[in-house]
Amino acid sequence: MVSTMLVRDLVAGYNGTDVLKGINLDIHPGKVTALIGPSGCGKTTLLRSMNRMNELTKKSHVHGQIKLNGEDIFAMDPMLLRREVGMVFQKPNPFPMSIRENVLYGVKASKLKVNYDEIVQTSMYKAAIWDELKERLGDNAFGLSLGQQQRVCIARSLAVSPSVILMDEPAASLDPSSAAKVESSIVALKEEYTFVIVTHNMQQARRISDYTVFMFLGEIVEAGETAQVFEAPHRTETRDYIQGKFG
Amino acid sequence: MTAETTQTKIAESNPTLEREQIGTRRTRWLDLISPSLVLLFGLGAVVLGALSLISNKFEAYPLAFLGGTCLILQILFLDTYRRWSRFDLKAAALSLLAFTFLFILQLLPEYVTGFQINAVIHRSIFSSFFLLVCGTASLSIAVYYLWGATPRAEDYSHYPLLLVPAGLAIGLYLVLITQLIGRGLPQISWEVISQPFYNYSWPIKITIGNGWPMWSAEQRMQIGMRNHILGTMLLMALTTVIAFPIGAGAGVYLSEYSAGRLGNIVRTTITSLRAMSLFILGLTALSVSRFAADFSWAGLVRGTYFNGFHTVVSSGGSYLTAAVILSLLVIPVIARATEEGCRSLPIELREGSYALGATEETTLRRVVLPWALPNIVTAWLISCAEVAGSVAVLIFIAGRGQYGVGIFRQVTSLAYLVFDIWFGEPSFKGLMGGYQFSAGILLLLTTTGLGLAAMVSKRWLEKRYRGE
Repeated sequence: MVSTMLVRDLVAGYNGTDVLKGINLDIHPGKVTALIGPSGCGKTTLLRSMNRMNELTKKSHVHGQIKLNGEDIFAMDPMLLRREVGMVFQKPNPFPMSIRENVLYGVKASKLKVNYDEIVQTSMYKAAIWDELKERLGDNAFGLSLGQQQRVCIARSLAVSPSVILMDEPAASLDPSSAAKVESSIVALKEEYTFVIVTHNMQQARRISDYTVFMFLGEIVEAGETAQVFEAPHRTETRDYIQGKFG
Repeated sequence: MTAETTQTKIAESNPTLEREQIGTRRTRWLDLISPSLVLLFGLGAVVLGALSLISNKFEAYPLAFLGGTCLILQILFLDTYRRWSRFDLKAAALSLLAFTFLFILQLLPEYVTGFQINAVIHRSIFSSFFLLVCGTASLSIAVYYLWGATPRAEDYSHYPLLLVPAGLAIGLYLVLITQLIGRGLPQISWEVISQPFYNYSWPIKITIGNGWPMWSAEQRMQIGMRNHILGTMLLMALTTVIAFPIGAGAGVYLSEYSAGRLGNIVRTTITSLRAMSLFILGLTALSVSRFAADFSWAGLVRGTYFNGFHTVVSSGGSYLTAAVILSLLVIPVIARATEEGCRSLPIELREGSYALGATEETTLRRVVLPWALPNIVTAWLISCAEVAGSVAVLIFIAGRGQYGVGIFRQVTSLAYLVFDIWFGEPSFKGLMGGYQFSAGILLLLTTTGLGLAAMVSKRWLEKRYRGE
């Protein structure tokens, strides 16, 4: 099922300082939404609020509403929410176990009764890593290249069959060809999943996203279809940022 | 601009500089003579200084060596000026100091008394110390000039300053170990290791005479260390069983759940436990066993033995008591190592686990603990070595293990045997005298083996669970 997320009047921050100052945002189902903006503007905080990961940080606070298919996520069990809303991090973070165990980690953690072999194959296939690694499933995932590690991490989050996938600069620490593979698998998967992607790379946002949200100083300056935001931005800040005048 | 033209330019602009100084100096064999002489004398001085620290047989040689070193340093001092057009102030200062000391040493009588240390000291102790210092410094200077007086040579010239103290420390250990092996190894035999020690009178015949039971006894004696060896193993095993779960649990608690005051209290307690004197722990063990004397469960705490007629409660402590007290010593080690291991988990892995919908418990079991495992296992093995070597805790409660080994028997260990042979009663010393070195060898083997196992297992586990 493809899910919708609605963010309403979201205020969040750390140590008593608000990083997000009232965010209202619709995440469209089955589309890729890119969050862009200069460093420190709250993109990552917004992303981490959407599966309640920022609650793991000490002295963090969140007010407002986020709804996943109409259901308030702050009323949900965070473990169940995170199975529904998966996350891929900037730095590849495979566990120090075999590739197979990495992919099955979430499945085993949530005690799902499924065919393990099948789920390993389908999720790795979706992450465009199956053909490369199908002979080496027993190897330690730490021994892979960064690009392969990141795609194993994507396969790992696909294995628990989420409906929304949050990505925090998934290609930032990868070489261009690995980044291209990650990008193409995102494009291939967007029919099945809703993607929210934080990126610093304008070209990447333009290539893969359907909607673009420009944030600045904890607020959403402009949100709209990617073509519109990039070609004819309504606000001067957006235009300046996209043209690289600040950032 | 190529390197060569740069060098010519520098040489042209500064005519006082010689070509040698710019880094393309070609070494002539004559240049090597003076630094190699210093090197030779430096080496000799260090070796002789170390040897004369051990015995004063070499008393006559250090003085001559010191004089020779000074002279050769002086030659180097002048030679440096001839070749590099500058004085080496370090070499000058060193040779001046050495000459001064040589003069003072000549004034000293051969045996020095007084200095408020109530001892007679051979003057070789002064010369050997100075010889070591002087030799190390001249080695350093010699290496500097042998290497061509470049910045890299300056780096290399520091090596003697690091290597000589390290070599002295290792040499001391070698002396210790050779002493131990030389005295202990000849006495070790399979019989000594496989037989238990005992020395008691055992009833052999009970007859009824004149209406009273009469019994005759024989004195049974045997030399051996079997029960001490088995006892050490049992102590390690029991301490592991008690301390491992508590220590690892406390460590996990400290790193994962200790927010606020309670965590600080636990941490402070653990640290102060570690700082406690071991004799205090020994006294605790003693008072626990004294306290238990009035209760029916005295045997569990104080240890029992079979004396031929019936089982008797001993006056010391059982293996269980000793293990509980030793656990107090070992728990802090395991707890700190576990805490550190858990804390060293990269935050990305923890977040990665939570992001997949894993609970805290799953994260702990499948990510945090495997990550901390190398630390935990290392700490456990080191603790075992500590248990094997600990005497102070057992000193008031241990026995000779002549009535067997078991959880509720009276405690004994190899380390205690070493103490007991030297400070125990004369009859025991008469029987077992000399075997303290053999026990020492066994202890050394145990601790070395455990240390090696710790190293190997750490490497293996890190490879397995951290992908390093």
